[in-house]
Amino acid sequence: MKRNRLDSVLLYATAILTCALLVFPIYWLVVTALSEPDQLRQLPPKFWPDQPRWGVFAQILAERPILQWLGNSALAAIGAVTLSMTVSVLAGYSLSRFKVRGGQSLGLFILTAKMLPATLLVIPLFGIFRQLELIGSLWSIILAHATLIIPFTTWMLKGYFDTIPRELEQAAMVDGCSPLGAMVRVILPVSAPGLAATALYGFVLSWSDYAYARTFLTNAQTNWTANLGITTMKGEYVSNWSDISAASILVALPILLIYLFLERYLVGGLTAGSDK
Amino acid sequence: MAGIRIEHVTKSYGGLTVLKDFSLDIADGEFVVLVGPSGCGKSTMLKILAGLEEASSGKVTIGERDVTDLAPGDRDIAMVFQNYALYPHLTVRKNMGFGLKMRGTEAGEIDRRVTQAAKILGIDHLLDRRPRALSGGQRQRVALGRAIVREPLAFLMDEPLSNLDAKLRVHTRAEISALHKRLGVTTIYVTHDQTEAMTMADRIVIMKDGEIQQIAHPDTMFREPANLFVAGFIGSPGMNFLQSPVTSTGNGAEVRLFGQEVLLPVANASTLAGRDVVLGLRPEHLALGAGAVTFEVQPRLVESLGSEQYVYVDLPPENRVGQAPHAAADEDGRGNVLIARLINPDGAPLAERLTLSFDPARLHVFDAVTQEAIR
Amino acid sequence: MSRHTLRQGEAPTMPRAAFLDLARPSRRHWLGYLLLAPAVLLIGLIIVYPLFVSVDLSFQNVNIARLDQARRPFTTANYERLFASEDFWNACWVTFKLVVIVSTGCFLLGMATALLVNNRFKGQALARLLVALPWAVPEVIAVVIFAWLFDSSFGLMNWIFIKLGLVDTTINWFSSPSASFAVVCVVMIWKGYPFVSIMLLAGLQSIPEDFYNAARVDGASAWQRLLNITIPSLMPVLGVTLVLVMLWVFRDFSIIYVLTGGGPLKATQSLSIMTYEQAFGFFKMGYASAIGVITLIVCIIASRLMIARAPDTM
Repeated sequence: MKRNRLDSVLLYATAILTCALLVFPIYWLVVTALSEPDQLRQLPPKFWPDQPRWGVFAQILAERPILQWLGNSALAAIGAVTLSMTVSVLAGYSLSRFKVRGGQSLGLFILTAKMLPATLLVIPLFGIFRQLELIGSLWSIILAHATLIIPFTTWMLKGYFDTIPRELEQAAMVDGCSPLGAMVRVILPVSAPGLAATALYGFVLSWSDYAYARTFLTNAQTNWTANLGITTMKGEYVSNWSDISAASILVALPILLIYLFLERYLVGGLTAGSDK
Repeated sequence: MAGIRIEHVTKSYGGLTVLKDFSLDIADGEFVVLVGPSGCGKSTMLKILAGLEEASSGKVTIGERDVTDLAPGDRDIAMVFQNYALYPHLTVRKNMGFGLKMRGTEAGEIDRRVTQAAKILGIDHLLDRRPRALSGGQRQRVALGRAIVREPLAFLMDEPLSNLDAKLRVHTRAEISALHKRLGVTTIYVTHDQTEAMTMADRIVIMKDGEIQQIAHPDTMFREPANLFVAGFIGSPGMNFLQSPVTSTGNGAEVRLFGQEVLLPVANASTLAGRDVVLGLRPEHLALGAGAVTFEVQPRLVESLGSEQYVYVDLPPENRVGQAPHAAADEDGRGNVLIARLINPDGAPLAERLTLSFDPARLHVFDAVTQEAIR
Repeated sequence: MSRHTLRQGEAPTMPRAAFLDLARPSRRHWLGYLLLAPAVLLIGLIIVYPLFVSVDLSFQNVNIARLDQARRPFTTANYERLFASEDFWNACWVTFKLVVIVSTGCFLLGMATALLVNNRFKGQALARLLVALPWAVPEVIAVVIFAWLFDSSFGLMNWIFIKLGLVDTTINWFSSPSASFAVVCVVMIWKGYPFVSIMLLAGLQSIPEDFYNAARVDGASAWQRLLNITIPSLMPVLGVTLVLVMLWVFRDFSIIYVLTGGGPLKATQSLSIMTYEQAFGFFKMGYASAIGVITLIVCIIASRLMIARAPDTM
């Protein structure tokens, strides 16, 4: 398609302006983090600090237990993703390949479970975890995040397995594999990109949670996840926006990096998982 | 190597029966082709043979061993799939050796057999590539190679040529036949293409709607089709069908074709008097010029293929195949057209009106109601 | 070549235990159940059982959910109180306004950005990445960003508004009901539109180029192509995406809770916030469960509508 010059200029101008406007809040977060707190209280605002204080990240890591929070978030996410993936790889494969009685209803239930409001589930889970004495422990978060992740991953994986020809495992079975062997030796290796995308998506879901962490971990400061830690910083009497912004960048960074470098996988998973 | 015996196998999903009482004895080393239109149950039968699907009833024996409910891997068979089903994450070498590895064959032996099979198929230079890096034809060979390294009791092939382009298909067809001669392994081959069936099979099993229509040697199938469906399915272009009532005469019974009285070439023809029959006449049995039964027509269309010409002629209304429910003629709208296949025409354009003729001995006679052949 | 000699070195096939052999055609479907079992068990424990507990709680007069205590008598008091409560109807109204405004905003912005980056130009890949970048910012962080942007004393937005002459004095965004509602909407739209954009872009890219070429040959203008090809082809994706976005707004907790906590004067108290506040602010878990059950019913109806809309993707 040929465009004339004016159209081209207009297109580029619109694209640049739109991107700039939409990404500006993230840019502003960076500017805030790099500015001296005093400078933030001056008008007119500076759109790039005179002397970016790059040391702010090291300083904030030393002053606040951010590394611990990040570690907790990572632990919770890895735990929840491992648990969810184990269960949903098997279930997704079964839903994709076997005609199991009740399988369709189960699939529908899982689909509906994606829409469950966390604010409803958090109440009984609080009661259950209190009984099991899991409140304050990362295990409560791992289990709670599994309720968020399993419905997504099961459907994403089912969709992914559906795209792999059945003949592959039929060939493997003729070659002497058991059905489980065919799955482990052929289907799972072939699905590696899909498994990775699904796991990443689960990781993002877990990393972004606030409601469960707020409810189960509030009184266990050493087990705070990153999001919970950030909100407590924001809730302090005098907000030091510079420090909060620096901490926020550190918390958002893992997901932003996953997104920037593995966008194709994540987005593929997002659209595949969501139209079902 | 071993013979295969299929006894009264049926398959149904809920109320839907896809395979009705299938019985077949396959001799050791025989090349049997299951052929039929899509949905006829041929692939289901093959999957049951492979153990990939469960038969609803019946029994399958491979080399004296009852394998009806045996795992696919325990049947000692190899299968070639339409989409080849090569393992995309393994190299060609590992693809071919996978089955042997699963059976615990030692590495040196696997390597020796893979190399040998690759040489036979001319793919020894591709052994370290992955399937993704291969052309369609090469993938097909790897799939064949994966089957032959196993040296199984039988090969099962599920439309192995239909993903190839036309030229390669003809070439590979001949190669599979040669391979079968060389290895002598019992082969069951499923296809929807009657040409493949005719050229490769020792015996053809022709199926429709889950039922066997006829089991015969390709030549017998061509010359003595058991019913209208077989007659229409085998041969290209397909057999022409003309309908006519039978009237008895002094020395037998006659039908009326293109306004001519034609003596029926069957024994006891007079018993057919008063009934309708469908007459089959292969396009190649019509000739230009006068003959035993001669008639003049105005061609609707002439297709020239160089060495031969197809002449399309409208059937007279009285000879059009009527309401009788028969699949073969109706599907391609052949109920009211006759095709004459004229071999080696001199190249001169055909005249407006043509004189065609045929030998009544070439007519196939079918009951218009039961659609069975009458001989 | 003799089969016998070639077969040397091959171990005899091990016969599997006949009963446990799941490879047998007649047993294979057992594996289907076996593979589902862990998921069914886990989902039963952490989703289905809690759901039952919360429905059960909603019919009891319980303050703190203690499963080790005897069940309180059955009562519909929670629901009666709920429907008589002004707060509940206020929360419904707030939620409704949010769903309508935020979904519309997400859709307009998502559609516009998707159409923009669907054009072919240099840097298209980068633009696509940037346009959907907010999707990768955790909700809590998004709130931090906007809380500072809308800070009443030194926030950038106040400065911009004054510079543009829209207001003459700084606005205290988080103490005015309508202003804080507006900020909540802005944050949710910023966080929510990338999802729409990603979904619609995927939809746009699955429309065959031939459709457009055929339309161009027929002399259709860009606008006509949008109306007659793009929008109809996107309809299935649009429907599903709309429901998903609406459900997200309907259920979202983190953004509002961290940004305003539902205030001021309950101006941003959606049903989710009210549920949580009743449960963990006032420890009225039975009452909170009743609100939760209502939201659940709405969610189930909406998701069923979506499933019915996209039967072929099932």
